[in-house]
Amino acid sequence: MSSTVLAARLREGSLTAASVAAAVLVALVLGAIVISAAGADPVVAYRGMVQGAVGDGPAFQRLLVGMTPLVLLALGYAIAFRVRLFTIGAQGGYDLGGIAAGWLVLSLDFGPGWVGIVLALGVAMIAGALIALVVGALYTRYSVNPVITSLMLNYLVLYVLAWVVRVPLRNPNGFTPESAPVPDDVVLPHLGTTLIHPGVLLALVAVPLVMWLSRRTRWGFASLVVGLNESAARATGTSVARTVLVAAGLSGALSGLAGGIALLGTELRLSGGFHSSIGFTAIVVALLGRSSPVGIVLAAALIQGLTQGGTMMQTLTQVPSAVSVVLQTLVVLLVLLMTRWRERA
Amino acid sequence: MTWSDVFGQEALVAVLAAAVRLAAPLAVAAAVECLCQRSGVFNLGLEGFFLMGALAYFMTGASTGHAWVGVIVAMVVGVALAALTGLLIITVGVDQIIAGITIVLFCTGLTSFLYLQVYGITGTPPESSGMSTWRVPILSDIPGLGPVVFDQTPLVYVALVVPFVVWWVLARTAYGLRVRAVGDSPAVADEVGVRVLRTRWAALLSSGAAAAFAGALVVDGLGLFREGITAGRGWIALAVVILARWNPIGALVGSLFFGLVDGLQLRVQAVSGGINSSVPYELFAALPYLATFLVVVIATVRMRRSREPRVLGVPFTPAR
Repeated sequence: MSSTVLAARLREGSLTAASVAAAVLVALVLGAIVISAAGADPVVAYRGMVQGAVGDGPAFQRLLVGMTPLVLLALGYAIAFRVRLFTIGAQGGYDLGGIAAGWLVLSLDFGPGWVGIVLALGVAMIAGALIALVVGALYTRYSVNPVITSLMLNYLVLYVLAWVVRVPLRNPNGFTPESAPVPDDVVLPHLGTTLIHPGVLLALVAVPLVMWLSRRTRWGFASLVVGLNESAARATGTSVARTVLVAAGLSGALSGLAGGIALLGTELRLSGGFHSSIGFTAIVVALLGRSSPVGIVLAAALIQGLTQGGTMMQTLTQVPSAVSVVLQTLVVLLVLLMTRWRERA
Repeated sequence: MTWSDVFGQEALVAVLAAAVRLAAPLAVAAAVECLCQRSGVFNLGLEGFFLMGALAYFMTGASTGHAWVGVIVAMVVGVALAALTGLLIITVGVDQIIAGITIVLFCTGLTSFLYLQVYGITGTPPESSGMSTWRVPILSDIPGLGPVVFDQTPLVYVALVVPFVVWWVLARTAYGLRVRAVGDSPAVADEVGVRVLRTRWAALLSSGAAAAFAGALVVDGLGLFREGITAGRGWIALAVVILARWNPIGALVGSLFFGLVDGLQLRVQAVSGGINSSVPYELFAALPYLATFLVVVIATVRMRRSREPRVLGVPFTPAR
């Protein structure tokens, strides 16, 4: 990389970092006003938030484990957004990945645990990729609005999950619909006495992999061109459909992987509660990270910190933890405003 | 559960009346969204407007007994949110899809925060009394049709009339002409002196008010409020716009279809008998989303986009 390109990239990076920092600051001030209005001391609330996010060893480990699915899902969004495939379907891929992995390990025995883990995560990725390909194919072939199709598929998967844990995988000893716990030998092993599991490593590997994919491969270049100008891409002989489909498949595979890791690493059984809103939180991460892999890691740390810090804050001050969602989205709104403003100036 | 629980004569009237009640929010939001999109502005955040409107209506109207106050508050909230959206997408020119998604996420967080803050994290919220029904004299006695359409709340009647009003505005007024012009060729419109941004602002603010009004209708339609109550209905309203090919009367028809699906599935869920039921009620619960998915796909594939406003989602910077 030439030094001028590096310098330009560094300048762009620091400008982005500066605007995110400014947005966080403004959001925190607005948040303080809201927290005071809710009858709590903002200093106590924010101190609780920091404590819950990175206050001690276990909190920090929870941060890393919590960031893992967020990073994978947000990388998936970044890949899809690169070709202007505006899907919001990561939640469906995540849920379906969990269902597929869970179904596999609960119905078959593979001998050594690692075989089961590899197969389960593989099946999770395939499931996630397939559902995303539906959205991608409908978009690139017929221009069907991917926001709506992906969201409707999210809901359909949610009801598949509800049915799976109520009927075929129902744990007869459970009071509420839930599956049996996954067998011990396919649970992702923890590193020593920590909460860290191999899934964290997988997310760490995915970051440079996505960077390499988008900077050094043919698909990376094609996706850049398609994202910038579809008709130009077509004119230069790039297959727009193939580029979009590859993006959809990769992005879906990452969301399925996130779901598989969540099931075998932290959730350990399927239930209605497996469905969270993490697919939407990951949109915030992808937007804040400006769809760059490194930015996404930083944004995931910030967002996961706010989320788990919010839970601690709720315990300490009785202010509902949903205030962190408000803060997170406010940061994104402000960053969107500032970035666009800068582009226009 | 037997089929007469759903399709028997008495049950059927109840299901159809529920269908109209549940179609009303879709109809009002989709009809005005047609206007908004015809002006070239994609207000993707409808789901967020639904949620905020629902909460505002519940807090200030449905739970206090002053339903009309709640409706007005909800619409004011909708306009305020639309102003925030407009700042992003009309004034600054942020990508309309990304801005819309973010607005929905913001509203989801805000409603859940406000709701838990006001009614307590573990507390029980007050009952929703909502608006009472008003039987239209004479018309409500029509056999079949009467109890289904003319025994609803005044809000529902308003919602069912709005699509006709929007059609009239679009087709017969000077403002409607300007909307169509700035949605199809803003540069030309600007050239001949139409205020492009002002026209779009007006369309966006009305769609915000309408979508928040729709949120109030959802609360009345289900008779309660809880977190995430709108359950994707704002997104379904967007699908209705596509199905209707940006025609407000078409939006009314499309909404009635989705209202019927919703009414049927709610009925099946109510009579299916809980978690040990042999009825796969998840399949019915999933019906509105399955229907939306199929309808959007089929409608998009068949129309070949000829009816879509030409510059939908493209920001405009006036030359002057």
